[in-house]
Amino acid sequence: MRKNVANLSNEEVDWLHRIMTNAQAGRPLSSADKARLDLMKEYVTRSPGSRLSHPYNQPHSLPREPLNAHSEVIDTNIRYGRNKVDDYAADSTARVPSDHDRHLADYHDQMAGRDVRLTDVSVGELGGAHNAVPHKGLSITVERSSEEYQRVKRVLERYRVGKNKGAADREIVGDVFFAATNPSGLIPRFHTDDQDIVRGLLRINGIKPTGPVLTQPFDVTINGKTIHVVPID
Amino acid sequence: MGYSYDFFVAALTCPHCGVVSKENYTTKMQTSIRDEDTDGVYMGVGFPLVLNLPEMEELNYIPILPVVEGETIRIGHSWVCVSCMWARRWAVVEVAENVIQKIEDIDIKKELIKLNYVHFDIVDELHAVLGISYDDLMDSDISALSKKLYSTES
Repeated sequence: MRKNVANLSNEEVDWLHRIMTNAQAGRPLSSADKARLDLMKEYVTRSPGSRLSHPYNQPHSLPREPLNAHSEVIDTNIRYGRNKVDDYAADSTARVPSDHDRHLADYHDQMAGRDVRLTDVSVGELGGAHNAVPHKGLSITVERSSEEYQRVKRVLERYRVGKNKGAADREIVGDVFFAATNPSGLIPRFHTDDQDIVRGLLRINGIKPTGPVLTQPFDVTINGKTIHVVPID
Repeated sequence: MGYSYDFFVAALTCPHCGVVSKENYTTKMQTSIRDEDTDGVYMGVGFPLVLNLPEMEELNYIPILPVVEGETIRIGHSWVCVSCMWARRWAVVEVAENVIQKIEDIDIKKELIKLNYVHFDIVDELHAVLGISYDDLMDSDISALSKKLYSTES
């Protein structure tokens, strides 16, 4: 069957158009439509090229080593800011970096000398390992499909960590929770400026995410697994 | 692929310390409202913004008032004063004819009931005012609670 760029058949596109029209008119989904939509979401989530795809299914060449005492796991956006500034330096027709890009690039550069790591999802979001070097990846201690991993993911989803649709964000955070460490028992450190991630994790701790707490590092524990979160001001 | 968010930007005056914000990322008005098209873009007044209304809840915006076709859509979004970091502030983002028409500070207690959507951060008001735990809030009808909380303030 011929598929379009979204990898959907014409019939599927027509069906999506129909249920969106119904939704805009305030008509509820039928149970059959809801079930089909759930299936389609799952399919799209796993389709290569979608932000919701699972880049961990796509191998990358960064070395994967257990985190050590000098390791800092960074969110995609931090490296992305560095790359934006670099792109413009190499090609003046690229988008002019904003002060936000430069802010993240500076933060990235302050980690020089540290052992900076990126999760598999981040490497995928950056477009591949060539956009992530010289950093390393990380290895995790369980299968992502394991009940232990999925239980943590369900808590992240329940608290909308990384927004309601943020499957990719939750994969990043989930991997940090299950990162292999040497020595074992080391608490992984995770740096992010994503407010939907920071605020969601603070709420898991029962802390109202307002005022100065938004810029203060904190620990969060889910099902006995702890990470140290460093919000970027 | 770009950043996982954009920013609403405006010069917002803090009612606590009087400092006027820069029109940039420092107010922490990150938004995923453009879904897959986000790229760390600054979206101020005049920015073209096509809203995907059926997806608003998935994008972290809680429905309050139904959208009326052809009328301005009002979206509540939290912001932070970079000077005093004072509590939680709220701004309204008004969108009409697929363009941002206005972004200004509001008193959420008075204005919430006039919004079409409010950011999920409203759970923090519910937590603080109603004393409901975050764990319980995640199982609650945030829209109904929000409307009930501030329905008599205006």
